[in-house]
Amino acid sequence: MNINIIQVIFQIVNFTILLFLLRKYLYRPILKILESRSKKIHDGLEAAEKSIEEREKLEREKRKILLEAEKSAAEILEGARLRAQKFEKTLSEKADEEMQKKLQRADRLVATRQKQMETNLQKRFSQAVVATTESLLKDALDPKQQRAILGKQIQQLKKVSFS
Amino acid sequence: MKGKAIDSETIKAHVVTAVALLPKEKLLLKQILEEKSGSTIVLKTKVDASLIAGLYVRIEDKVFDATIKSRLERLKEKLLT
Repeated sequence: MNINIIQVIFQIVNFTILLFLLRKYLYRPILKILESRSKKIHDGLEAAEKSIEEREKLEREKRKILLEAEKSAAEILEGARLRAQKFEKTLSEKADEEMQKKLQRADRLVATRQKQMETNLQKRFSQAVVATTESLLKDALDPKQQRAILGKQIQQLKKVSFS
Repeated sequence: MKGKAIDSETIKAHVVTAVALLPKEKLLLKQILEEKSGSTIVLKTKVDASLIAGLYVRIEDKVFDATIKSRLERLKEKLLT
């Protein structure tokens, strides 16, 4: 087999030139495009990951806010329930106190009226006893008896000191 | 002034009775009061039937009240207390 050196050299030069041209006008732009796309994909993935992280963060914050809101609502409800209980208790205590006061007033009034009635009754009884005795004595004592009493009292006067 | 001395040795005595005093009762009463006071007594007598019975004597600020009326009044006070 005969090897044509010139042809080989020519082929080498051709291939070198082709390689140079391919590298300059095809391979580099394609590589650049590929790098650009790769970068875009990478950026896109990063953005997507970032977006997912952001979304997860937002979800976490949302859950946290919801939990806090639920906690606040529960606290408000509990506070309102306690206040309502306290108010109800206060109202009940006030009502009881008022009732006790009214009962005490009524007791005092009854006691006072009873005392007044007893006093009046005693007064009327005393007046009746004295009036009856006076009337009986007036009817019963004749002048002779009156004089006898008078004489006795004049004698009693001796025992009384006037000095 | 009622019941006050008329002079240094004479004293007025107010006497109230339910029946009029007889002269002998007046005399006895005057003697007793003069013995008690050591002064001459002038009796000022009065009859008040509301006393029922008994004797009331006042000499100056001293009172002897033994009337039935006053006893009934004391009884009424006791019944009220």
